[in-house]
Amino acid sequence: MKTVRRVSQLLFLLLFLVLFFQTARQIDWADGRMSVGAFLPADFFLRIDPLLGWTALAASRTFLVSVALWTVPVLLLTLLFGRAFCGWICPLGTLIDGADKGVRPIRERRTNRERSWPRLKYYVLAAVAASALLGSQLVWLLDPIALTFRSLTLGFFAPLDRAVHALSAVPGLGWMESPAVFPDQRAAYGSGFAALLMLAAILAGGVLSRRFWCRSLCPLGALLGVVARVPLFRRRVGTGCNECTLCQRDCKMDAIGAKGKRTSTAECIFCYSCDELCPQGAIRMAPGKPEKSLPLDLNRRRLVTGIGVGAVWGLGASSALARRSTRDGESRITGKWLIRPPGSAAEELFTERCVRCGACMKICPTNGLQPALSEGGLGAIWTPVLMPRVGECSQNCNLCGEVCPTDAIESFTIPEKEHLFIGRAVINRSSCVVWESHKQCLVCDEVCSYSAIYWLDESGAEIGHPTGEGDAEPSQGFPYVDPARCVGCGICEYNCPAGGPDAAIRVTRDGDKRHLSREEQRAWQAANWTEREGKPPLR
Amino acid sequence: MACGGAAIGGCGRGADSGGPGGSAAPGRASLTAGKGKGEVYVGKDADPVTALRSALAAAGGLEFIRPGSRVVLKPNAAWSRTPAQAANTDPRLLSAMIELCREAGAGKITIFEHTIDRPAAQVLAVSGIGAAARQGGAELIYGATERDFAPIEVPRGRMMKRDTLARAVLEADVFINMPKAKHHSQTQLTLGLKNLMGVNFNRQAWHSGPDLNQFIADYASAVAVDLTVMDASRILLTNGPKGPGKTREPGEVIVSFDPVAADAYACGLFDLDPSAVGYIGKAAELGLGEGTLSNIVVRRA
Repeated sequence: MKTVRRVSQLLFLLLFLVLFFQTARQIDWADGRMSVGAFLPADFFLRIDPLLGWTALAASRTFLVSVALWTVPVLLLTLLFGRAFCGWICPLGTLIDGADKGVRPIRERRTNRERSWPRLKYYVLAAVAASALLGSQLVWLLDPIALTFRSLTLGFFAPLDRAVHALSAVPGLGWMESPAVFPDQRAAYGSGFAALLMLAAILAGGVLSRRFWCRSLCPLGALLGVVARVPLFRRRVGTGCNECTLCQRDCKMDAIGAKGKRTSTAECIFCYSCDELCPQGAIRMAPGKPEKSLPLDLNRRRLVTGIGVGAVWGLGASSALARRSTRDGESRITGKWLIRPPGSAAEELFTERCVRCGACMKICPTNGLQPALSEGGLGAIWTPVLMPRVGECSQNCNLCGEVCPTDAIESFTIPEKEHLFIGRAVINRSSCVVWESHKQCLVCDEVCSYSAIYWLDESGAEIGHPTGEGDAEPSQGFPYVDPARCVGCGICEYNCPAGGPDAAIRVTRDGDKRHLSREEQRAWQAANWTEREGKPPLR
Repeated sequence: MACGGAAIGGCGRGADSGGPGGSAAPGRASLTAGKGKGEVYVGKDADPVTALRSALAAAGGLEFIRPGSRVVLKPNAAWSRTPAQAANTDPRLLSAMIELCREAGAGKITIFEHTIDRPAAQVLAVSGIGAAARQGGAELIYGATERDFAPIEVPRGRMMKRDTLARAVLEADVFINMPKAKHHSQTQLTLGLKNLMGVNFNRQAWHSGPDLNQFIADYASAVAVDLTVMDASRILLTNGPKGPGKTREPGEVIVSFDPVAADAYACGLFDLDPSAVGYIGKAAELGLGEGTLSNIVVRRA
């Protein structure tokens, strides 16, 4: 059975990696329609994770059947087999098993007694639950599936892209570069190294004990541990046991009592190591009547501390307090550069739902979706923000909405994008070469997907385009942004030839209309629409 | 301005920065240099392929393609727009040209485009250009990165002294430009000479330079175009170059060995004089072809 378990671990890890790479655009050559190229939902692992699903629901105080239903299989599995998910399925658990083998010499040189704090994870879970109930969930930081996906996206994918790009220049290796898997330009993500470091630190936990993360810190492990108090199947020790304690010393989860007989069902991950190891053949994993499990022995004061930490985060980082200071229902707490992908929920709901798995950033074909650091404050770290100078939001793309596991980005259609206002382009007149030095330049107008740039001459009259005899002549007109047409995609900012890091036209959050429903945004567009010569009419 | 002036090649955008390395190669002369100067062959038919075939027949066909030649075709497929929106070259013309080149004995045929909208593969799909290339069995290069371009000298340029050119074009035996005739907000029209912006790497530098029209003309002096096949079957009249805008269907395909004359002729389809399109006159001044309508011979097939 141990072998079967190992095969299962490797297959699920493989599935996780396959789905990670399949979180990529697939383009229909007949009409250019894009879809997610995965044979299962690309966010499969994120969706089956009950901790992610339920905290996102709790934080947003909405019940979505679609989110809840996905979590049922893992909960059922846990009722039957305890924490088998951790031992058989969890990709991070499998990575940890691998890393534990690698750091074994260091661990054994350091200490002959492995160190872990099994109760700590319940306090972590308490903090996660409290933060979610108070509005700003903390689960994104420590959920194993979300953090693994995120670490791979932010920390691993970009270096891989560069390596593959470099290798594909070698004659005969050109096939290596598949444009569908990688963005059009070389991928790069802000704070990618920090994300990778977090994963590395978790894997390095093996220096203290095997499965250190799973024993001491994992909030998903803790949740499943609570569910697994009385599982149908469990480790049972028969009368042949001579209390040699071989299994007790070998157990990588430290789930076995001092004499080798009793088991902590909240810790046992069904790895079948003891069953195989026992010289007496006395151990079976079998169903039957409940036995007394080893107690959890939670310390009430620490549990309260955990809840307190979560509450402080939940209240402090969430918009629960700031919500009172909003006007017109539009949050005022968020930053100027906080441009969310189209289809995103209103800001408060968005940060409550977003588990920062990075799937949207992984699939964004221009690499424009980047992890936020300070753009939205403490409660928005590692949420996706559009940075148009890195890459625009492509007009004919809706893939981020397709891969979001918690509907922080709700799916949307291409035509809908014309009235999903995520921001608005603003021209900086002191760096725009037309405004500042009367030069001819119309790149923003040329590339605009929504025909949102219009021109006025010095008297304020609208003109078609300020072209004269050859463009060495000074421009006779000046560009303006039509707020009813500009949705904030940022293709102007990406292509603006002025400036280095800064463009002369930049998208800011001023114009973000996510606090309105899609229908209301459409109505707003219609109410503010101006027909302009030569430009397409209101759809 | 960081990217201004004529020192082009050091202002790459995106993850790759800096200009393509290596030394500049001397440009080759056009295979059809001196042939049909000031002559334009125009086919007209509701079916653009018929128009193309008759125009090409009038021009004497593709006999300048030697057997086994590597041929590069450069359509305009910059935008994520459908053929009906008339912002890109009609894919039917590309299919027909692939077939005609092959009949003329061409070896490897490559379709090159450096799209502006992204992702590039989607632009190629929406425009139909990708499917046409694939069905025709041609190599399709898109989503090109910096290393797909090489530095070139522009010895005859007035403002531009050096720039970059797609390696595929540089290494080709035959280069056929397949532009779309359409409105352009800055230069009035996008025609053949302007379509060459898509085989250089850094477009931003042209826009932020002192005179886009002069840059277009200068660059054309360094890129050997063996034939221009311009799609004017359906033309975009407003809101160019990307559209959507108003369209009209002249049903014409314009073939010429003279890249300047082809552009000058096409102005008429928009009721414009070639003098309204800055780069045409500047290219004529550089001796790249005939830019004055009265000196151009139009042969309608």
